[in-house]
Amino acid sequence: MVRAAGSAPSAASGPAGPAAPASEDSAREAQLRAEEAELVAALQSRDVKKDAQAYERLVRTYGQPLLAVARQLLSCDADAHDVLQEAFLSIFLHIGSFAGDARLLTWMHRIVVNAALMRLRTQRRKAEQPIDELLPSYLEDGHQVHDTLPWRATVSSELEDLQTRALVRGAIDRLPLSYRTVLVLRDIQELDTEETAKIMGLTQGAVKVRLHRARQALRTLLEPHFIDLELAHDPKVVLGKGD
Amino acid sequence: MTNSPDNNDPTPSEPGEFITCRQLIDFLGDYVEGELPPPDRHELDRHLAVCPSCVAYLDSYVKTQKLGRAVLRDEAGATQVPEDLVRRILLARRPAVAR
Repeated sequence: MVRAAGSAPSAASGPAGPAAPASEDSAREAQLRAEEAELVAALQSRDVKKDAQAYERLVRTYGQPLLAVARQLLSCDADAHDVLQEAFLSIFLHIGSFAGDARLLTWMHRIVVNAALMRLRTQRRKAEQPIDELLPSYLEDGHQVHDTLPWRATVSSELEDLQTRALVRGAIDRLPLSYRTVLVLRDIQELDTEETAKIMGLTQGAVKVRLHRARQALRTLLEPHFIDLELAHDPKVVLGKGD
Repeated sequence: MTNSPDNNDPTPSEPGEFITCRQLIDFLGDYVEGELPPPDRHELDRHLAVCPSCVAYLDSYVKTQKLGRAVLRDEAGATQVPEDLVRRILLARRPAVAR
């Protein structure tokens, strides 16, 4: 379900790192669960001192991955900081209703995503490029109007260049809001379609269509920068190899 | 089969014919997610075997996903919570406690 980015002690952490034996995994999972339960119990207690210490521990432990989520959805640091603050306040106010049936990080992740979406909706919308212009166009017989040219095999390694990274980030930020949000939730945060649909108030079908269009639009925005000019002019080369 | 805005089936109009580029691209999301039923996947594979432009489209579609993921994940890994933000968050809680 939710694979939150970042380095918090979460069983939902990313795929990086060597695989641990199953027994180690379950022992670590049990330890994390116990730590979470202890933290939640302290936050739910009405002991002011205990509760204050627990809140600080919560902020210091989970602030990083939650800020990362907010920053992925919002294109400015200041907005992401404000959203994190709002989200933690909401978490603190509603921790009493956390029943422990989901992981604490998953529950908090949802609150941050909702806070970020709320912020995006209330912001004055920037003029968005219509998505249709970024989708492929077809002839009447269903073939593409323009052949797709092959991309360089090295695009991933080109990300070592800061300018290339900025270019990709800039292209993501240029996607219309609802498309960018679906892309971040599904492709980056790896929420499943059902969860994404719930958060965004869409049907699962609409989420799938938007995700596909978002990827297509991003592809179009990146295309001029990654076309392999040598391959594009060599008819003998098999297209689409590499990476 | 929810990826297609037009609800086209990735089925050729006549047996033995090929699906169009549009049908292929409409269902590419399901294709890369491995969510197409085998007969539909087979039709996309048949088209890809004869259409270099769609092969290039598929390749660039997958590379786009990888690029977006890599950039945003690295950015997430490098995100730091500034100490003044931590303090702001802790301070913001005080009025809530006092309620």
